[in-house]
Amino acid sequence: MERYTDHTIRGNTITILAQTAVNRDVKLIVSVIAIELAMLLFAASKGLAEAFLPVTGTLMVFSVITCLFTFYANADKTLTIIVLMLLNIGFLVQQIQNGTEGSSKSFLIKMAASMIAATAGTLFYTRMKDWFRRPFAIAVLVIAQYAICAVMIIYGQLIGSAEGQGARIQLSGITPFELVKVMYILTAAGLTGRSSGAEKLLLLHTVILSFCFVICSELGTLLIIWTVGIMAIWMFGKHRKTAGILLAASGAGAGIFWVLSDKLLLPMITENPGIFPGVVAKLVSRFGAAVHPELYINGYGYQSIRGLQAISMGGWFGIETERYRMPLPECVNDFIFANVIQTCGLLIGFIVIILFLIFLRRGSAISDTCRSEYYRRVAFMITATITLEAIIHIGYNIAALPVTGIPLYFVSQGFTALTTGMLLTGMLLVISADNKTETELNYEIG
Amino acid sequence: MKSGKWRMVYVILGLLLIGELAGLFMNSATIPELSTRADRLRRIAAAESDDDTILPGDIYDRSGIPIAETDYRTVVETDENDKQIKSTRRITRYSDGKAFSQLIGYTGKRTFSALAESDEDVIGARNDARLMAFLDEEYWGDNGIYSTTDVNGTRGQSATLTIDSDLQVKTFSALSEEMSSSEEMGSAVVMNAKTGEILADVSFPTYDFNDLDNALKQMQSDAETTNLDPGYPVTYKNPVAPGSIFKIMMAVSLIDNGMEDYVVNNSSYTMDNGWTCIAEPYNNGSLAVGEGEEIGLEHALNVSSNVYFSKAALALGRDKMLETAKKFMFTEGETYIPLDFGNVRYNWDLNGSNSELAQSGFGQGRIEWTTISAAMVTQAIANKGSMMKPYMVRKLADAEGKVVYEGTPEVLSQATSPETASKVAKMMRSTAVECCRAINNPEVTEIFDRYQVAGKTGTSENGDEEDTINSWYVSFAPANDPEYVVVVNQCKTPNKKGFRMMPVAAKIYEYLFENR
Repeated sequence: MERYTDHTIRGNTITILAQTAVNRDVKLIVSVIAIELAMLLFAASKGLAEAFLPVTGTLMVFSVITCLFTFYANADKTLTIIVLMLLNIGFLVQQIQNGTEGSSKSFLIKMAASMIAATAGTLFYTRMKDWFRRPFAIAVLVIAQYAICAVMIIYGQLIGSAEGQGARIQLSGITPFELVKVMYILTAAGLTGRSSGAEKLLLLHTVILSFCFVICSELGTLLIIWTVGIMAIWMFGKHRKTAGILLAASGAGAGIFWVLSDKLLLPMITENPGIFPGVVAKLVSRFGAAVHPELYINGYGYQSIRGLQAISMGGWFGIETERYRMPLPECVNDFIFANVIQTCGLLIGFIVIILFLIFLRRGSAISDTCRSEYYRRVAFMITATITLEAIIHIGYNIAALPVTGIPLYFVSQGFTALTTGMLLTGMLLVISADNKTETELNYEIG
Repeated sequence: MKSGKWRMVYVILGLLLIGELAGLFMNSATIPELSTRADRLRRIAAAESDDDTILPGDIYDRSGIPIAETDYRTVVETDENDKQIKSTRRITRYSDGKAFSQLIGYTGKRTFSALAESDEDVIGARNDARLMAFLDEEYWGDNGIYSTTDVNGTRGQSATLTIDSDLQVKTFSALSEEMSSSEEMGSAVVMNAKTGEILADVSFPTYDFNDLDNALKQMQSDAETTNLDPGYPVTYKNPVAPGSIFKIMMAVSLIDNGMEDYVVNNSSYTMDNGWTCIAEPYNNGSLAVGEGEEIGLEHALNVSSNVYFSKAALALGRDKMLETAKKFMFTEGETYIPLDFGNVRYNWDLNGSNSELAQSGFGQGRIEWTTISAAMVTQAIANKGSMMKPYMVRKLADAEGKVVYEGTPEVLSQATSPETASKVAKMMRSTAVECCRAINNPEVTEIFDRYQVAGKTGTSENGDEEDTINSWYVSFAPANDPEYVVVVNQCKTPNKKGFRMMPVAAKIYEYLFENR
């Protein structure tokens, strides 16, 4: 009878576990490829197999490389797969919308550029992640945010000025405020919980940034930063009570403003358009027309109505003819979710929401397993930012929230949004990899 | 370990996403009637997209000659700074603007209202009430000039009408010789007596829709400053009192109710409410009839005696008149007959006083017909009592030429027995002969004799401030084996008796039998 030592048993167990893990990884890669093939089949059902083939091919290569990196780094696999699926849906929508004549070359280039930029950013973060918690780095980040805001206030291009309610959000085709979000997350994570003074600085910084966003009329980013920043203090900071009151007051204020806009202020604007200054009028019109856009079908409610019409036309599997494609405002960015429904149907819409639910779940798990409070905050803020943006984006696309104009990460096709989404995910994956490594080290030590 | 707050944030965010899942489903309109707003917005979106992307199909006459062709055309307009601006517009070209405008109409986009009180009103009508607007889904379901068989098609089905374009132009000319095509109100309808096919349909006032902008301005001006009702073609949209042409239906009613031998004393009489029916003397030849003399049915029809037919109405009573009217497709409480080119309007109400009932006997009271209504009644008499459903759409074909609808003759009602129809037809022929004698127009008499035209005049009062009248002539020919029904009228005219329409009918018959 053969005798086994503890060392032999442990070694065999590790081998079996390793083999099981490899088998699981192979299955996951095959699953990702199968999902991408299913997307190709969907495109084929719309007569676009040939046109979508290069996109599928590129995405497959990217997916396999990303999966291998993720597995190698021992990062969160589910998160990777979710993001890959969302990216696939985004490109699928764009291809179907472009039709057979639309070249996929331009968005393949954009996709490649985004991926390279996000990968570079992630690698940079991998190397420098501890540096970002230092006071000097935080000061640099804060200055960089103000610099971007100053540049945007002076040189920012006004988007959507046709309605007289445009936002100064673009510069040479990119939206620099997306970068501000990333920097803000690192700043807020670094300042929260550090000291009472640091949190006050964070609050002051948030207020100054909000003021800049108001000047640029960029209310979507303001909402995200304000909510995530204050929520971080409320959850992790030393001024939890104050942050809680601020959060509650913000929520209540928004609610009261919403009701007032709906019942009183928007009817006033309808009668006398010049009664309020620009940003206030914009807020009133967005809030006032949110719930009943059909009352302002050719005016303030136009965008919401178009979104709702696109959703209602999509059916289960997308519009049957391009004739019924609704002309959505900013259809590849701000109204991409409605565009997903009208292009691919309600089922894909459900899948998108479920994927964000799983993203939230994974993000929460990564944040939960962080041993470092700092990385826990970073993971939480990334998860909250991406999920909150998804909630707001989907919310106004289905006319449940006021229209703001923020992208749906991974699905929206804007270069900056695409890059930012992947960069934030990359950061989250780096944190998840560190968690796993720490856990395994602890196991080994144990 | 997660704190309570942390867990709460994740739960709230998760619940919000789940709520959005439900919200998305509610707004998806995948389950009908789950959300009224979603259903309505979906309908509006589809209709709006169709309007934007589908060009109306062309319209042809019965021989395949284009009558109205719609296409995108480049238009050059000059702005207030004398700058020329080019734009592409959807424009319909008519082979003869004035002859066809009131028949074909024009087309535009529909109006939409997500907040309409009822679901039926969410999609409004097109901005016109004539044929091009009518050849739409409301009557035609999946067919019509805005429908495509191919889901990606950009051109609606083409319509081939029963209209003979040469006859239409000839009818327009004949009517124009009697009245102004732009400043007076009147119409002419030519129908196949055996099938109900409408061969010509002309309404005045008419406008040249080849210059649509100016035509619409003129129509707007006429609608505001005249009583010509330019938006409602008199052939089927604008009923007026029929006057004595109604007597042919009274004749049918009398015969069908066993009162063929009904005789009255040709004397003026006054009813309880003070209304007096005046017995006008008739002094022409053998049919002369004086005050107090007896008069029978055919004689009364020949000389168009109001005394006879008003007394006949009282003798028949409401129920018998209603019964006859119903067979001729006039139903009390209804206001139109839906046909393939539009809803043919009429008014039929015998619920007034006895004096109104008496007046109904000679086509006054509360009875109003359009030209098509009169043609339907005449056609039934000409066709052995069998009323054919008037139709104007011969076929609809999709962009590939595949026929998706074909109009065929269809019996609408057996209005009376062949025997009664034959008797009334003979009376109408003798009436036409008597009228020719009375108007003493050799040319008309010669044509009426040559083609054995049977007919009846009608003159009715509108009871308006201007004391305008309507002049009618209903007819068919040849009397022994009718092929065509011709009805002409002039409405709201100051002073013109029904027989003044006979030369118009004569010209049309001459063309029908000589050139067609």
